[in-house]
Amino acid sequence: MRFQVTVYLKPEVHDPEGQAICQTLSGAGYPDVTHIRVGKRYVIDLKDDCHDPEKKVAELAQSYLANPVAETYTIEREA
Amino acid sequence: MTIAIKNSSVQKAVGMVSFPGSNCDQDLAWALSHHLGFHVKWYDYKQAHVEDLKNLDALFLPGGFSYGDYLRGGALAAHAPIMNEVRAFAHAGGPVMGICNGFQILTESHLLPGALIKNQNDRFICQMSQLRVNPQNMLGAKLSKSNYDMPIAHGEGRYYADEKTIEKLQGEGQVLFQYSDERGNLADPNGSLLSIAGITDPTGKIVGLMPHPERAAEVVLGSADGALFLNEYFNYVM
Repeated sequence: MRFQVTVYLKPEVHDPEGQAICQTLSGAGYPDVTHIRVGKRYVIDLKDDCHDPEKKVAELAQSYLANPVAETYTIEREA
Repeated sequence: MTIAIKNSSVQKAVGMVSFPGSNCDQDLAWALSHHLGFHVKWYDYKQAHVEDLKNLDALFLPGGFSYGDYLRGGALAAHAPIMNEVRAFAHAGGPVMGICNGFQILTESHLLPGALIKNQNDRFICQMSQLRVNPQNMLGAKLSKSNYDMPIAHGEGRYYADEKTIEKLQGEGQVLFQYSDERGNLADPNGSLLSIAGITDPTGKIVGLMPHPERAAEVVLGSADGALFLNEYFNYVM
């Protein structure tokens, strides 16, 4: 089974990489782009007989994949 | 592997934990052994159980790019087998200093609060820095100077924590060093909250700092303040 965990900086934390990309694109012919934030997406495959996969992925996201001090995350399970 | 010491009567020993990608360990070991006369014991990051850690006078987590900065700087090293022993050593009151990537490892291990994230200007910053000492800090109060010159070299050195944590750091005197200019006014090279360059736990024994004292260990490097700071740290914890 497959899950996807997407990690972003929290909205209140300045994202310099996103800002740099936005400014560059704005000058490269896309002035309508006002804001970009950069995230990371982790694709996680678990064994089919994994017990309580949602809980395990939530633990992975909270304790390893994201740093809750400055980052937030979402979890999606692929059908 | 242990580094041979010149003076065989030296009893004091410190530990160095090196991870794959750590690259400031040799410089730090040189400063500790050559300038301060310590015997340096190296520890393999894969060792889950180490008997003699408790006999050490201090433990160091050096700078570099452990695990290639994969996941986040210091995030994978924080879960290396050796870190159980490092945490136990720290919780038992053992002095631990994390420098640059070592500071990142300490925050990812929750031995120090907050996080080190990408520099505000999205650039790798490599420059000499003036560091203002916070005299309210337990270790800071024992330092002989009010300003130390040590270089920084990092892409993810911006100190960040939520408001509650920042208030606690200030209240408990945990801020050790702040980036400043030559006049002692706070400076902002990388967007760190409160211009934080280094913090400690409330006792002052667990230290995390982004600047490199080992790169300021002798005048020919541009500053000898790093060796002075290390020496004063040992005087405080021993």
